[in-house]
Amino acid sequence: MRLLVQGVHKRFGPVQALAGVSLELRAGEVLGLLGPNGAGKTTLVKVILGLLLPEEGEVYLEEEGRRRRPQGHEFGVLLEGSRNLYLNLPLLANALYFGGIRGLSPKEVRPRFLHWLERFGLKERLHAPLASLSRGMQQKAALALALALRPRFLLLDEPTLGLDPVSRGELEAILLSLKGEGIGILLTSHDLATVERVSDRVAFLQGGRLLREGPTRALLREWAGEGYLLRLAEPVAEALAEALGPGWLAEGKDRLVFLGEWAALKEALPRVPVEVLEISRGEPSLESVFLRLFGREVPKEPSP
Amino acid sequence: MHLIFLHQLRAELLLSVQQLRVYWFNQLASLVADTVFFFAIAMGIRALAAGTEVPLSLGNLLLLYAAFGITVGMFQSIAFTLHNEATRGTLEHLALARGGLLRQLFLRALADTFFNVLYNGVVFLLLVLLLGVRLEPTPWFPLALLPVALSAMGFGFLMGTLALYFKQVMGLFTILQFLLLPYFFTLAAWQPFMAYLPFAPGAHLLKLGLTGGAFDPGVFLLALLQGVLLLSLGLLAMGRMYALVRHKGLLGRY
Repeated sequence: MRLLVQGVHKRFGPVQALAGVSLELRAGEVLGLLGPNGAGKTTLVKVILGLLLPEEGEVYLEEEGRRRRPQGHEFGVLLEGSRNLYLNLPLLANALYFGGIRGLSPKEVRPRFLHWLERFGLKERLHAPLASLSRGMQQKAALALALALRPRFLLLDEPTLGLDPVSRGELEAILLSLKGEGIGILLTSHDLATVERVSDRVAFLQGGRLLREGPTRALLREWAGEGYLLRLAEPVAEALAEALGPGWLAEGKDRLVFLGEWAALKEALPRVPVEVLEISRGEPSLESVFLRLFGREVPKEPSP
Repeated sequence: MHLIFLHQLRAELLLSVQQLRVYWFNQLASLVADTVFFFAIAMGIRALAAGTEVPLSLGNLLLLYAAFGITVGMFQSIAFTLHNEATRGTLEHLALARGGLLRQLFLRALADTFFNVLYNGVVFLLLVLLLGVRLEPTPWFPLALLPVALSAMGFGFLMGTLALYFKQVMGLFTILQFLLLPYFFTLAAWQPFMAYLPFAPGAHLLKLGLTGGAFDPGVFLLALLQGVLLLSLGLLAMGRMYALVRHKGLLGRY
């Protein structure tokens, strides 16, 4: 089973939010959807859910060679920028309501919700109003409900927002285990480290266009390439990286990253205006790919 | 399919119960306020109408009030739901309900109506006890509520259409509620030309039912047809507006 997005165009007045985006999400994989703010990630998620209607393009579920339009209730959803539950109601009441409107009985929802609450360490808060929980706990409760609905596809828009590092680690473990259960997960996030750890494939959006899409490991190899981390003797302005030219990225105040061959670095090194204390090989990361794609000025209308 | 529908309706009923539990004090205060308010009005009417012929007895006036309260409640339910859900930021999740937003709004309206009937029923009974009035409704009187309810639901969807786009339509409701009250009561004085006015045949039938009149099948069918037409119109308008707000990206906005 797979979810297909084909040639989706979405415009809001003068803003082209999505311009011919095509994607595929297979059962049992995690697809990381990345891009700077306003790239069209949330718009794409809402188009898939049917909460937004595109001007062109289609969204399909394909199973055993047959295609059909998916219904919103078939997805487990965590929407960013929107409350996913009622703040004034207890967790259990929320679960029974949102499970109920998806057509599930309390007998079906309650044990599943309890299971996921236990995994997130929130079982004892079952009868507490959502408003009494911290932002991170609220996010976990919403996730627990999305998972309790036993969806075949999970659309998570910024799921790590408000989560502490321990909870983020738990979420990563849960996402990896869900993959094993055959659930397809679309994950949009600015938490690139999490996306890198859990995603099988990543897609980069910019200005509503799909810039790149492919297996995470392959993109890391292809785009990060060789990288070197330079530790500097004194802090420098962030603008220095840009002034040094293509391939240079600032990482903190006293570090620079050079993406390129060793020979090119040797040639460029004299242009660095401060003493370089140490040069080490940098591990390719999604962050370096992201910075390479979006860290500098990217044309607003890149050629397809 | 039926089971799913029942799960969804039960979810709406349980949600209403939960909201009542959380905000019981406000509900209780509203109940007392409405009872006192209409008790004062009824006492005023009784004093003013002393010794004169009135078209409706105080008991039937109270029944008409209860029917009006239920109708206005249904009339407002869908738009209030849309407004509240948009404010809470959960409207998009409601749209992910099985069968879609329109079905869920319909079920929410049914659940709201159930509690609205209970609420108005309690106010009504308290007023009956306080005023010591005798009731003279016919056994078929509840049947007259059906076409009125369908019309109210149709209007509810039409108002919901505006709320789906504009989100805040409370000002319009305040005006409509005041306009509807005298209009609704005027309709109790039936004239044949009123047959095509919204709520008119239903309200006439309701008056017959409340004042011991005979059941008029012709008026009932006319009222039922009108109710079905208004409900269809409301659903059609809502469906069109739902598509429009999803095109414009306005669904989740407030």
